[in-house]
Amino acid sequence: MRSAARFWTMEGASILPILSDSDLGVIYDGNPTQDGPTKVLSLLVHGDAAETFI
Amino acid sequence: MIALDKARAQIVAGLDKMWPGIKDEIEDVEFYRYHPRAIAAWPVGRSRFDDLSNEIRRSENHVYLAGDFTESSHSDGAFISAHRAVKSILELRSAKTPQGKATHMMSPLVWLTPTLLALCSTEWARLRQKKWISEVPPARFGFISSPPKPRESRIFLYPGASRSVCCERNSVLHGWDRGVYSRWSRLDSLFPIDRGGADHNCGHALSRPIRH
Repeated sequence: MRSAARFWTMEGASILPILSDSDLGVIYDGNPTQDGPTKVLSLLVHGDAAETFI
Repeated sequence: MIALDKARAQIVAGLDKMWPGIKDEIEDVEFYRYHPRAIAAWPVGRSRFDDLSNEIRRSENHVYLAGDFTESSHSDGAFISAHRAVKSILELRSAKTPQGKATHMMSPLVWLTPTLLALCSTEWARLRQKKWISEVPPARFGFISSPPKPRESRIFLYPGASRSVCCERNSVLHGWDRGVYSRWSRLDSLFPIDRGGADHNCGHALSRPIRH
């Protein structure tokens, strides 16, 4: 089973946290100690993008 | 106010646009418009204007703390702190000796943060224009992708960063000499409400790194 972590892993290392330069805001590990197959990502949506969610 | 389902759908769509295929991996999405544990608080007897708070806003060994938590409890503090930190760094970089030489040489600036609005401020663009972070692709900014260099100046925006930031990747809190600066231990006092909370991950706490 391929891990979703492949999306945010580059050269064997996590690139998180990242500033996405999109409406997603900043994306970071929801819990860096998570060892299970299910990973948690946290997003901090800000600015105009956040306004759209209010 | 848009429906939560719609907000979740927008987030998933945004993620899939950035990382095509990830939507098939997503099991669940939760969305919070407000999260109390994301807000810094000053306990009774403390103030964001007191001496301890002033110490937090002072740089130490060319490391700067910035973020909502250093000035207030909200996003305005992120902007204010960004201006403060960047202004200090610009002044430092422009300082000259009487002989006209730079008083300080610094490696490219790196921001260490999972947050905040300050990143979108004019200060952020200013840093990019100066190419202090030019080695990092803007759309895939790995804040901690490279190890710190001696005397590197960094801005740290969020004390609730992951333990991987604070410990495993030689974070700014360890500084260039891997020492955690005593001044910033006082940041601990800003987040007393997080201690022992049922949903608080102790690995995220600033107090976790081992100090000198």
